Amino acid sequence: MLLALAVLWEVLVRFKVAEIQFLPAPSEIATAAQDALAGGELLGRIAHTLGVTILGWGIASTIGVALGLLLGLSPLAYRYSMTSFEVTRAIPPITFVPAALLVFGFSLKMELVLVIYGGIWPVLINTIGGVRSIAPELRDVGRMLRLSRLETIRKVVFPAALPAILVGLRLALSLCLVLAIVAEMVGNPAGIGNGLISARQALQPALMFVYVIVAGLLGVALNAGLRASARALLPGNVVKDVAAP
Amino acid sequence: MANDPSYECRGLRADVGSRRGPRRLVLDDVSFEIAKGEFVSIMGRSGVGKTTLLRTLAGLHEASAGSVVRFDGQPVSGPPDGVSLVFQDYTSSLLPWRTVAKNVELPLEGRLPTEERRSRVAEALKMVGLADRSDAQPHELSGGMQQRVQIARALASQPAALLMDEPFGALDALTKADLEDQLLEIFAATGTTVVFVTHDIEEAVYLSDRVLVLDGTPAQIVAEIPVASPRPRTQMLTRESSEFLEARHRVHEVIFGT
Ligand SMILES: Nc1ncnc2c1ncn2[C@@H]1O[C@H](COP(=O)(O)OP(=O)(O)OP(=O)(O)O)[C@@H](O)[C@H]1O
Ligand SMILES: [Mg+2]
Repeated sequence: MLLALAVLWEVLVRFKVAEIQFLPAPSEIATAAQDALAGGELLGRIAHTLGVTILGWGIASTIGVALGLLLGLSPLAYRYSMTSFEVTRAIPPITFVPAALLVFGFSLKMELVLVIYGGIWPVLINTIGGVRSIAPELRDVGRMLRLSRLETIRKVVFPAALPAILVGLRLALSLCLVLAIVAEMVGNPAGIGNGLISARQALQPALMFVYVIVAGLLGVALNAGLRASARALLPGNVVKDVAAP
Repeated sequence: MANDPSYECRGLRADVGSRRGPRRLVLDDVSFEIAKGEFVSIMGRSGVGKTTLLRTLAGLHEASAGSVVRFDGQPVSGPPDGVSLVFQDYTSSLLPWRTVAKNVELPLEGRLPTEERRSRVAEALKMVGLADRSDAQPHELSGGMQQRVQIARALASQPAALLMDEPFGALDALTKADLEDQLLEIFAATGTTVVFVTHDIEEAVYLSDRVLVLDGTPAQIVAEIPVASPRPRTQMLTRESSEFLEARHRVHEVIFGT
């Protein structure tokens, strides 16, 4: 399917059927990819974007899960925070880019802050939802078995909310990658996002498409990696909805 | 002291409802004693307050001010040590991500050395006839087996009193008869006190030394019917005995009127 599309594209461009300026043929893109790989530039940029995405996602997940458990378990905190959450969450994280640029400048910090901020929401919202949908019977079970508060969270609440949390983690991972690339395009001069912009400015459309494709592959790889580690670390009946493609 | 009752309730009042909304008085002036090692059933119409009473005994539901609820001489505030509760709904009371053995081990974790935990778990599973399924996941078991896992978990902490809320209500008649006999064996072997909530008159009479009947809104204990059938009991012989038939007749009379 994909191959047929590539061949069609190649043919259209080669024989000038579609005369679109700056639309490179797949063969040109392949050559550009080889050059970028050989120069080490491509791998460096991938490493940067991948690193920031995973680091930011890790921090966002930790904050999101911890805060989500807290708010999910405390009806009072939940009531007081939910309205402000609904409003803040409705603002797309990308709109904070100019503000983040002003505060942190063209820096790695700015990129990380954006990635973390955006990544927290899906984790937080799903964790709260997961905790609040736990059957009340299960809490009685915890009390009846004399589990301490910490034991209850560790052994009952967290595992019960885990399927929902994993959904949040997965959403957050895709979002973190997008935000890292956006931040690199407009702010932090590094990584794949910056590669895209530089290639455009240098009028190297083939190289630009290399980065587009690499970004797509990264997204697929991150998702697959998360699913594989969830499957490896967790018993089968918890992972069902996350392991689905 | 050996003659102290296991449970003692005097003028127990309990209401239900949300913290802010209107509260409804469910139990008013409920008084009874349950001796150590006694098997007592609590019966009554649906919605009369059986679960509320059992949750109060378990320390999960707070009785109104002025009520006296004692377990082993101590006022109940929160789940008392030595009391286990078997919940009505086994599907939501087992942890689906833990194996059978790990579910049973949960109340022992961090309280006993590993060796002793293992042997307690094995013992409890043997008592309910699930020794060979210890590595299964709960969802791989039938309803009756899952309920047995819950009973094993309740037994693992070697309770002085076992509270059971319609534990066999959702099971078919054959499984139910099996589990009733298993429970009687456990009762005989452990000498634990049992407070058993049920809808089923025959079940209550077959298992119990005494049947308490709740009725009214708010509910009170309207009758206490002793069951004189000797133990050990067996499904066929006991159910045909005159003591059984007489007690069943009396419970029936109280619940359905004359
Ligand atoms: N959380 C609650 N909020 C409001 N009302 C409640 C709540 N829990 C129980 N009730 C009410 O209290 C009354 C007693 O309930 P309870 O569950 O104790 O009855 P029950 O005798 O166990 O009934 P069943 O045999 O159907 O299990 C019922 O009328 C019920 O509607
Ligand atoms: Mg009930």
